[in-house]
Amino acid sequence: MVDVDRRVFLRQALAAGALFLPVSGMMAGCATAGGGGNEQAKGDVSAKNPLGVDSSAALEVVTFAGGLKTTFPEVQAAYKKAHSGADLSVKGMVNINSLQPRFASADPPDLVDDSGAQKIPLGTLVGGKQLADLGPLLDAPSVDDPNVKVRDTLVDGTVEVGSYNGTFHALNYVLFVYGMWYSRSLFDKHDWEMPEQWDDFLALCEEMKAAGLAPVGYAGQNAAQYVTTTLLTMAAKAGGPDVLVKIDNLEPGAWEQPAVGDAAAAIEQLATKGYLLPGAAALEHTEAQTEWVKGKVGVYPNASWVENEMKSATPKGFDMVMSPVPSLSSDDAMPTETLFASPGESFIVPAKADNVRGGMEFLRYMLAKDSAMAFTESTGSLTVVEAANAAVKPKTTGLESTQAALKAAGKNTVTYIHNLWYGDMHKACTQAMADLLTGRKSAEEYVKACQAAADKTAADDSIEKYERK
Amino acid sequence: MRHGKYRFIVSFLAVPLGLYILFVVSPNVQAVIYSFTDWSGYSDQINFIGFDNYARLLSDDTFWIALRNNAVLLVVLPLVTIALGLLFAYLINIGGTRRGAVATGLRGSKFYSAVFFFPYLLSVAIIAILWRQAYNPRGGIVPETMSALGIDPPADGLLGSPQTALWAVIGVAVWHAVGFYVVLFTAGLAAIPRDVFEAAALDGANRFTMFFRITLPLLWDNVQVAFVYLGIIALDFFAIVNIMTPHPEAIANSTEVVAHYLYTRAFSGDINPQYGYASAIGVALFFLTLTLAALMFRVTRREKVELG
Repeated sequence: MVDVDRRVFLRQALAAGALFLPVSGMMAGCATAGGGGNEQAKGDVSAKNPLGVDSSAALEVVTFAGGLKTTFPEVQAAYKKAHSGADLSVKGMVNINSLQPRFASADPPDLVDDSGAQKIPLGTLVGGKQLADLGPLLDAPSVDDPNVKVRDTLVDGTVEVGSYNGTFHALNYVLFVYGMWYSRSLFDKHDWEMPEQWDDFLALCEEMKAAGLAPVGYAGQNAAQYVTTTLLTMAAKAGGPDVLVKIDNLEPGAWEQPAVGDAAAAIEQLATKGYLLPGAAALEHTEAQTEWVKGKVGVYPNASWVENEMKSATPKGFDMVMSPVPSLSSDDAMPTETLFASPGESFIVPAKADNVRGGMEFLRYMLAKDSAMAFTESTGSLTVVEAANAAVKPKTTGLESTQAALKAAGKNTVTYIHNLWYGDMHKACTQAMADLLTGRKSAEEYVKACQAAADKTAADDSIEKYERK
Repeated sequence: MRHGKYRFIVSFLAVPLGLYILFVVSPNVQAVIYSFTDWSGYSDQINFIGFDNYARLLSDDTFWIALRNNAVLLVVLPLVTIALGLLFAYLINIGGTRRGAVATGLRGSKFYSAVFFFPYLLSVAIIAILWRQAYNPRGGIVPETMSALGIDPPADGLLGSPQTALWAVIGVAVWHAVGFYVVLFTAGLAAIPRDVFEAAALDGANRFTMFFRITLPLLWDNVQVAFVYLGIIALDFFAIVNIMTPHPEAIANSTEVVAHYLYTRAFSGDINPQYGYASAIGVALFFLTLTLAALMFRVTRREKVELG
């Protein structure tokens, strides 16, 4: 008797459930659609308030708490001074993509530092029209001199890297400079100098190997792309900045340009001659960099963040410094001082934020010379504020050498953007680089694999395309 | 009266059923719905695109590589783990020297069962980090031991070579899981009357005969359960891969598995997130798991041995 009753009950419960489930699913599905046209906070435009910020509107800023760990106290003070009625909240966060529900429900913060391993890829937000046009910020007068627009205070490339088909969506605040990093004390001890030409660099590698060092370090598990930057910097130096523009624009045969092939052949030599850190293929970047600061590796191709990143593991007197990537030959198109300098740390203002103008205003104060210098002093990283980079007094050897290299390079800086635009292509090229460095692919095969990935991206209509000039 | 009884039952079931629907059923149903959309995960605009995501899945090379790796895991992980689990359980409980006709375990068997079970008490995250260090080609204990034994460890490291990386992570999973199955099989062995073994011993059965003719058939129910559990672990395998080789593309995708590929498509900072496509991968994995569980129960079904 009891048994039958239970079965009847279960059957009825299941039937009720079957009715209920799709409804609950659809309702939950609807939760993503929300937010209508929200009212933007707006104040009166004046000389002191060029962006028309509503001085009483709340402002919510999310900074990245992973690498740089600053919440911009100077900028906060300046913003509060200018907009005394504003309720300002600045919070650090490590996993920026945990903001996903707030974007999906159209309730994002007003300003976000979209950085770190868990960043939200910008292409997604641009494609979904979820980012505000930061053009008004570029054309606003700078904090330091009302006669100079913000646009004219920035390092070359800042506007280009942050623009998507002509609209400026991301202010990349930090200037990362790539090069060959090494310990000055170690080089002094052996009486070595960082060569300007690739052939001389290979000769130095031979010497370092003889001295019992692994000449060149890299981390195959998650950072083979640092070597891609080295390769493409050499290619740009040999063939001019257009080499990288063609690659970014997915032009047919862009990876098959002679300069890229020559640079790939140069990198291949590191693998075939046994100049790479043994076992690097299995290491992550912090593990491999630890081998380097322990004095077991001669040169590490890296970017200017490495000094801060390795601060606690670096022994006193290591004195890390950087030099530009060597030139392929003496008749390269660009001078040997040429640097790969790329603005990073993307600050974005979501289009559906309540206080878009406030977000831009906070950025305007970040771009003031004093704020940028304070940032460099606390984080050891240069910014895209040109005047601040020249004026700041470096406290560390790494920053000092970066600043000097930047000054020597002048206008001869190059960068690429395809890694931000086309994630799948970048991933495929990183895989090809890992293969090249472990000898699984030859230089020709590397070029072929990258070209195939570029062609695939170019042919895929579902991927939004961007262009640079 | 009847009415009152229903109310009584419902009052007991409402809360757990509600939680189950909210946290298990509803996300699954939503995943199916999203798999038919182009949702990025961040946009408040969603378009239904029919079966496009599934069509794309069929021509996605990385997905097929991941599926192949899951297939390898599905065969190797249960076989090795169960074989080792059975062997250890047998040695610990029965395989020792016989005192008279009484079957006992090897000397120190209590110690061994604690040792085998210990890894299972640690979280997968701890295990994976620990073994990353052990595999480190720059002085890790595994390559050092291999060198000491005269075996050359791969130059690119066990986790850096496409030929060895998958086997290295499988090894970790086996090490982690085997203790649980030793305990499971030990419990199963305890349910087998001792006189069966004693009778066999008196009839002159050696250890191998005893294992294959008596122990294994009488443990078949437990083995079947172990196959299903380990099969499910093999089809997931996200945590170990994500910690030990977070970027499988660096090793020619040799450790990529479907669950990790799904994660990459939705949550990687480098690739534009595609929640719709990731959901389609999840739905495919769901049906695969379901099919395999059903298949395993069918294949491993055997006549039950009746005792007594």
